[in-house]
Amino acid sequence: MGTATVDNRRLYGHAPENNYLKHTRGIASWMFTLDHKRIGVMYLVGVTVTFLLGGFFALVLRSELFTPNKMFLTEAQYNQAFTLHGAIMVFAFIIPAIPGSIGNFVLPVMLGAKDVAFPRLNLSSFYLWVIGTFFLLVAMIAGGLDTGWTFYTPYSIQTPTNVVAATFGAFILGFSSIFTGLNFIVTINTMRPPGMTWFKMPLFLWGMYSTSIIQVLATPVLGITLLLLIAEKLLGLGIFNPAQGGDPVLFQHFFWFYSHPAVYIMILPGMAIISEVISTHSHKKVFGYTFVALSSVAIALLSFLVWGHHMFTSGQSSISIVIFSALTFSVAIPSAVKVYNWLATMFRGEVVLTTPMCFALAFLFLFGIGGLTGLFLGTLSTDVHLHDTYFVVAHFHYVMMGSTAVAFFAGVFHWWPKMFGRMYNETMGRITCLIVFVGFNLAFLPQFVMGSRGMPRRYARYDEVFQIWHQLSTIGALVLGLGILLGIVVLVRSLFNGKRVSGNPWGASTLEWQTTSPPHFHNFEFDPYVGGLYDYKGVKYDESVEGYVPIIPPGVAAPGSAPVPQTAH
Amino acid sequence: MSLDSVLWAQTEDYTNWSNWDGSYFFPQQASDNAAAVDGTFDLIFWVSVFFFVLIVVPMVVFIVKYRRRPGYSPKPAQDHNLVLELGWSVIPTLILVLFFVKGVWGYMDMRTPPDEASEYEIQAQASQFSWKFTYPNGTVSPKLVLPINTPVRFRLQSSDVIHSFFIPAFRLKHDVVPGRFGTAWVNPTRVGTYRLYCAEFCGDGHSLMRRDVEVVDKTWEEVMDEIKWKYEEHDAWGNGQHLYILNCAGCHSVDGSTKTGPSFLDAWGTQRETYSGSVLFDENYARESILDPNAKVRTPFPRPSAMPTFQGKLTEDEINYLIEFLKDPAR
Repeated sequence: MGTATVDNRRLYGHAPENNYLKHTRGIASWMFTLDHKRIGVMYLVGVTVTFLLGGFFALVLRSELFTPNKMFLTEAQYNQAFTLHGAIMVFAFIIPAIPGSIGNFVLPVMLGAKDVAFPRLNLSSFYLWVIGTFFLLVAMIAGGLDTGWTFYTPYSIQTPTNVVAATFGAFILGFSSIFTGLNFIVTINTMRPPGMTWFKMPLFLWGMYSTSIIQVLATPVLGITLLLLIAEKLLGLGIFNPAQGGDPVLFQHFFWFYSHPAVYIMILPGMAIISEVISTHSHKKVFGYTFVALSSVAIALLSFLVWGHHMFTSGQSSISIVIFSALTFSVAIPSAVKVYNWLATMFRGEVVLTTPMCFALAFLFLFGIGGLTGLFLGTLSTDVHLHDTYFVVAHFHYVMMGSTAVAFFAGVFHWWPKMFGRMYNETMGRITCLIVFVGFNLAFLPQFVMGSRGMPRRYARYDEVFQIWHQLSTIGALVLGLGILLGIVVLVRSLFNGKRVSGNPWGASTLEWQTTSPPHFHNFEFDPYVGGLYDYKGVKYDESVEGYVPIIPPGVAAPGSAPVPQTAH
Repeated sequence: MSLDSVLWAQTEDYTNWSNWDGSYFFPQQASDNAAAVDGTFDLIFWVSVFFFVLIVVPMVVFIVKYRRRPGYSPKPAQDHNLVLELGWSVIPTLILVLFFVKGVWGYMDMRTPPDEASEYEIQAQASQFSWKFTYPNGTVSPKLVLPINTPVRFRLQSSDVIHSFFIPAFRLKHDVVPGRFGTAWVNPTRVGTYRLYCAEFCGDGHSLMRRDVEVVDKTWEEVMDEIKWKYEEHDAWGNGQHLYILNCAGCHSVDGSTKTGPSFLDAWGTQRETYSGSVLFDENYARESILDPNAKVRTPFPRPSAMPTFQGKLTEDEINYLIEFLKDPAR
């Protein structure tokens, strides 16, 4: 029998000194770090900045829409505001947000590994993100951008705004995304600990793996498309420009061949977080683990087959439209399966309404609306009326903001104590969630109504009949903005006066909770014990560390102890 | 003048739509396809409400019933159940098949014009940022007026970027893509004034591509007769403005802003720089440029000029009207 030679405080407690944050000091130790945790933290800071910038443009354009006619923006300025909002949010925030920050931080620790497979590639992915975002900002400052985030030709060829800088930025951001995806695929394939087979992997890893597949396979198409657009703009190739015999709808096909799968690059990591958060805070194994895991893979594969539903009114042949409609419905099913599995996870669980759990429940509500309203758009006859109206705007904000961003918040609040070893004020956290939830619904529910009533999207001026709905939406957006700022304040304050937490304050079961908070520089000082998946009976509360510690079964070497001597039979 | 007021001035009857007269979710049903679309929408809506309740109610019940509290310890529960999981995969699948079929059915009806519709075809030409309609008798007008209960086809054409022809009251939308024709059709079933929107972002004035669509209780012959521009009823400047809106407004502003071509504001009677030297903007220069745009191209606009010749398209009278308008475009 091996006996523990290292006490639980060192293994599973709070680590005030011996952690990744304090291992080395100075700016250079961060800028040139190869530590996935530090890269994750840098991503977290970076995407917060882009999120605030994108949110600023959202509030600017929502404010302008408070009145039907000009309030303070010209049409051209309004068009720039909505374009920059969309481009920054999509390319510089929501695609990299979860994989870059939470994925980078959590994924290797969850595997019990020291780092990702290619740490240098990981750092270069972060710097590509910085450079790509920089080019988006250059476009913003030098010439602006007014094409919408979709860069549709031939308007993007005609406009005098800085399409070249913006598309080049998006091109570089694409490579950042590919590098992260490649890294995660190799890491999950090769670095799982002994005993963790594919179907003993936490669902977060299944979600990230599916995301990575899409990132690696779809993003190159966007890269080529954007390069062609730049060539079209600078050299006048005539691929997409009808004035030179090109086909503008071809651009839409290329663009959506990436950008529809990209929708799942955005939502799958959100779903991955929700699986962990709901299971942990219900203290119960995810219901129908295999279904949930495989539905991520199914979504990833089906996501490549539905891009045509963005072009139901563009004059495709009827037969291709019918096929795309059918395929679109097929991708709805795995998403619905997940929602009911998450609900069933709470059944006979032990539900604790922590801040991350509140965000996860908000996710279920908002994703329910976002998913169900997608049915109106997949159905052909109703889509013809709803296409390019505010109904679509509301639908994808429910999925992107209401689901992915809310899942991101859930993840940040869930892993924050692990990242920084401090607990935020739970009451303020729950209030944040409530304000975000109320503000979000007030901002976007009215948009469904005005959309089905016929209000087209991307309108700087509108008919008076829609004014009341626009005003509700604007007020909601401001409330939502306040909620998000409050959340940032709550988190940042905790760094200074938050309660110090142990390695596993939630009673979670996955491996990242079986090390100190913040984690050791090498993640684990001693190899962790890989117990049962989502086995909440496998952890117990330990007074000495003021947190949960794993129960090591007899006959197994505890981390840090001498190996169990093998007796000959 | 702002972009706003110039574009709004293009249609005299342009009104701001301020009284909602439709149902909660929809504008009025003014075509014979509208009821079917709304019916499908309502079906999906109520099924969605049902499934949404099926998410929210258990969620609330589970939060209350299974919350951690003193004296509560969870009973053992299954962590998977094949029958249940197949159930909530297969039943929604069947419902989705129903939606799909209804959607395809409705779509095919919307895309298949009845035989009568080929009798009357209106050519709808979209450009930044206006609409121009060519009626079967050759009349060109910025107004869209349709007789009731008469199926009509639209041939959609764009002269610059992608636009989209969207009339909510007809539940009709089709993109207007440059370099190819789009087709759409409608059978208007209700007299009234409705809205035409551009639904695909097309540039600065995108949100100003809103126009009225009138459905009237008249025959095609009456409509076409009324809509025909009668030169004798307007003064020369008014006729010139009409011709400007139809032919020039896409590229030449009258508010001083530069579009594809130079603005007409305060241009008359001044010296203008061209690649062939300085030229006085007078009757002869105007006439020459209309008939032969490449004779003297203004700097710094690209040469050869992007402007088509109007030789054979405008009569001498019409050119004279235009000249009257150009003398004082901001009147």
